[in-house]
Amino acid sequence: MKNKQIYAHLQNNIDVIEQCFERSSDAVRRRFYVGKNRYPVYTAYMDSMINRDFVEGELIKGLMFQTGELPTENTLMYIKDCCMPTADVKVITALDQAVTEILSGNTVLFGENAPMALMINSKGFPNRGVSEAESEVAIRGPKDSFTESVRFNTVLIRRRIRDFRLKAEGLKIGVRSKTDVAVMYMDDLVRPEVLEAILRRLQSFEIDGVLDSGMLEQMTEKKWYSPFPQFQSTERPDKAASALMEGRVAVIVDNSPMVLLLPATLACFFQASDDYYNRWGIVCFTRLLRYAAAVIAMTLPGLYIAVANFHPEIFPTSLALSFTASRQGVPFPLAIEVILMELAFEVLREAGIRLPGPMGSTLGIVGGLIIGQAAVDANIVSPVVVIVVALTALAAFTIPNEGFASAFRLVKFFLIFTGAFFGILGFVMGGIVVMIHLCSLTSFGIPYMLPFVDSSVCPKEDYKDSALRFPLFAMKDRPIFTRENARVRLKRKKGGQ
Amino acid sequence: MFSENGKISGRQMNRLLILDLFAVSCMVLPRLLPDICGRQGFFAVAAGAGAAILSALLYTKTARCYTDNFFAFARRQTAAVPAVIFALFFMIKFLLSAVFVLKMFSEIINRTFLTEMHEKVIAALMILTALYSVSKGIETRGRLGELLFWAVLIPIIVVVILSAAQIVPDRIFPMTADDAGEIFDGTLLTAAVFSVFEFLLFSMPYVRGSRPVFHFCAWAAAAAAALTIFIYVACIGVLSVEGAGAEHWPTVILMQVIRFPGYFLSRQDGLMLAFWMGSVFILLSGYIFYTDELTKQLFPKKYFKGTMILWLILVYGLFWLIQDYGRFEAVYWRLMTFAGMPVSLLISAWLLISCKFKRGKEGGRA
Repeated sequence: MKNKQIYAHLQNNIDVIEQCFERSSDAVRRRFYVGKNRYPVYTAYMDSMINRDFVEGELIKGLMFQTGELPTENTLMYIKDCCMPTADVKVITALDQAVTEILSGNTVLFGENAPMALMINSKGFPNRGVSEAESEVAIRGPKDSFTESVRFNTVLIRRRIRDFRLKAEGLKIGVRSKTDVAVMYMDDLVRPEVLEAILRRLQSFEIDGVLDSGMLEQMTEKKWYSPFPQFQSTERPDKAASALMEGRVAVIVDNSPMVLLLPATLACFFQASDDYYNRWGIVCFTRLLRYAAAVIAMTLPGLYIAVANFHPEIFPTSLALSFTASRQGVPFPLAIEVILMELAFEVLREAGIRLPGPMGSTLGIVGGLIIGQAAVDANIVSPVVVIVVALTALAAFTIPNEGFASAFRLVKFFLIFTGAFFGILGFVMGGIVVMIHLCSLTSFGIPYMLPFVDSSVCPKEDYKDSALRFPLFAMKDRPIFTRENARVRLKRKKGGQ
Repeated sequence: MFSENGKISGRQMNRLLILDLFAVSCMVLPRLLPDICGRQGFFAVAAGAGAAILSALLYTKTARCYTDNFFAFARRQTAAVPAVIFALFFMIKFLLSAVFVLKMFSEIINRTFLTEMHEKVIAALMILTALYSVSKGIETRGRLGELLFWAVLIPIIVVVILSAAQIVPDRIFPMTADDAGEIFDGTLLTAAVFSVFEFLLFSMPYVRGSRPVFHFCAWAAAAAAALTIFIYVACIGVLSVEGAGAEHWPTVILMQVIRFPGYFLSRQDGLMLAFWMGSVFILLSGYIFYTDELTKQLFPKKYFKGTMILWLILVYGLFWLIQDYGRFEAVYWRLMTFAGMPVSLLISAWLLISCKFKRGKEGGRA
C-alpha cells in the first residue's frame, strides 16, 4: 500500500480500507449517499478517538440530510468547499496517508470518481486534562503542566507566546506508532544550524514506535553513554515558553507529558521556574544553595570515606574522636557501610516510586525507622554514615531537574570507589575525570559547561543567569542560544521609571 | 558554531599557561632557590620570569609564521631531516619533562600525604587521568583549564595570605642583590622552570581570535611569577633560608604550618595539595598531548588513537626506572637549563629568521 494513490473508483478504496481494518471492531466504516442526486461516499474513523458529537452530530448528519443538489464533476471538492461544518479539512491523495489519518483520530471521506479523499480533523482522544506539575513544584507561578496530548501542549505554550513567529513543525516518528511530534521554536530567535541539527537527528532513525519523549531523547543524544542529560526535560509550560523566548527549541511528543528543551547547558538544569517570579536576593541565595547541594550530592560520601579512612588527621582531634567513637562495634569497613546505606536508600526510593500513594508514605516511615534507628542500634552502621547519606540524598533533591539529579546518584558511587581505594588522591582524580567528562560534553554545538567555560565567546549576559540571578531589569540580553543579531530582549522606554 | 572546531580562545590558553607554569614553580623554586641564592631568590624569580617573557615573545613570533602545524612549517623552512630532528627533540624533551612532573608529584604525595601508598600507584592514577584528558582533545583541555584555574589558585593565595601573620621580617629583609652570580644561577633555573612557553609553538595554531597571544603570555608569566615570589617570601619568612633549604618541600611545610581561622582543620596541607594536583594534572596532560600531536604530525598515516597510550606507557616505564628523586631532579634541571631550554630557543630563532628571510608566509598568518 505504500506510495499507492487513492483510486478514482470508490469500491477499490473500500476494498483496501476494509482489508486494512478487518478484525478491528473499533474501526467504524460506512458507505452512504450524499445529496439529492445520491452521490456515493465512504467514511472511516476510529471509535472513541474522534469527537463523536462533531462527527456524527454535525458532519455525517449534515452530509446525509442537509446537502442539496451536487455537481456531477469534482463532486468531492464541492463537498469540501461547500458542505463541511469545519475549516480543518485537507485533501489527501495517498492511501497510506489515509490509513494513518484514520488511526490518528481523523475522519476520512472517500467519494466516487475522485482520486483523492478528504481528511477532516475530528480528534477527540480521551485525556486526563491539565493538572498540577508533580515533579517540578513551584511555590509561586503557574501550576499547570503538560498533558499527553501534543495539541494540548502546543496550546499551553501558545497561550503564553502570542507571536506569529512561534512555529510548530509537525513530524511523525515511529514506523508503527507514527507518533506526532511537534518541534516548536521562535523563527527569529532560534539558531538555524541548531534547528537544522535537531530536525536532522529526529529523522535520522527508523524505529517501531516512540512512546515517550525519553525514548526520543536517548535516540538523538550524541553521548548516550554519559550519565548527564544533554536535553532538558520539563512538564511546565512556563518553563518551555521561557526557553523558546531564549532561542531554544521545544520538542513535544504525543503521549508524553515531558517536553524536551534543547540545547541545554549545565546552568539550565539549576534553573527553576519560580526563580524568575521571586525576588532576586532570595533567588541568588537559592541558586548558590543548589550548586553547593549538587557538589555535596556528588562528593560528600566519597570525601568522607577518603578522609576518614586515609587522612583522619585532617579532622580536628575532637571530631576525629567523635567519629571513631560512633563507629565502635560496627563490623564493616567504612566504605562498605556507606555503600550499604546508599544502596538501601536507593532501594527505598525505588520502592517508594512504585508503590501506590497511601502505601508509599507508610514505606517512608518504616524505611526510615529501619535504615535509621534500627540499623544504628544494631551497630550495623554508625550514626555519622546515616547523616552523610541523608544529607547526600537531601542535597540531590534540591536540584530542580530530576534527570540531572539522577546523574549525581551514579557519579557519587564512582567517587565512593575512588575515595575508598585511593584516599583524597583517588577522590581528586575521580573529580577531575568527572570534570573532564563535563567539559567534553556539548549540546548541539554549545559547550555543556557554559557560562563557566568558553567565557570569551559566551555573552556576558549569560553570567547574569547562572550561579546567581541578576535582577530582571539587568538581564537585558538573551543568552547564547539565540542567534547573533537577536540578543536584546529588554529595553527601557523613555520617560519610564 | 564556535565549539566543536578544535580551537581554544586566547583566554583559555592564558589560563592553561598559568597552571602549567605554576604547577612546578611553586614547588621546585622554593625548594632549590634557597640553596642557590638565599634571600636573593626574589630577584632570581623576577629576572627569570622576565627572561621567560622574552622567550615567549620569540615563540609567539615564530608560531605566527604558520597556521598549520610546527612540523610542516619546519619542513618548509628547512628540510625533512632537520624538521624531523626538531620534532624528535621536542618529543624527547616533553616525555622527559612528563617523567619529571610525574616523579615530583608522586614524591610529594608519597612523602607528605599518602605515606602508605606506593609511589607507582600514585603515578598510575595520575597517568590514567591524563590519558582520559588527552583523548578528549584541546577544546576539553581548554575548558578544564578555565574550570580548574580558580580552584587551584584561590587556595594557594589563601595560604599565602594566612602565612603573612607568621612571617618573621628579619628573615626576609634586607632584600639586596649582593651576589650577581648567584642571582644569575637562580635566574637560569627559573627560566628553565618557566620554559613551558615552548608549548606555544604547538598550541598557537589552535588559538582562535585576533587578540595578540603575547599579551596572554606576558600576563601568564607575570601571574605565575608573582605567585611564586609570594610563596617564596612566605617560605623564607616563615622557615628562614636555612630552614627552607633543609626541607624537602618547603611549600608543603608552609601549608602545614599555617592555621585557618577557627582551627577547623588540623591538617590543611592535604586540602591545599588536593587543589594543587589540578595544576600538575594540566601540565602532565599538556606534555603528553603535545607529544601526541607531534606524533600525529610526524606520522600522519601511521598514527592511531592508541599511540598516546604508548607514550603514557613509556613515561610510566621511565618513571619506574628512577629510584633517587634528588639525583634525577638535579640531572633534569641541569639538562633543561643548559641543553633543553637553549636548544628550544635556538630552534625557534632559526625557524623565525628563516621564515623572515624566505618571507615564507605560505600558509602563515596575515
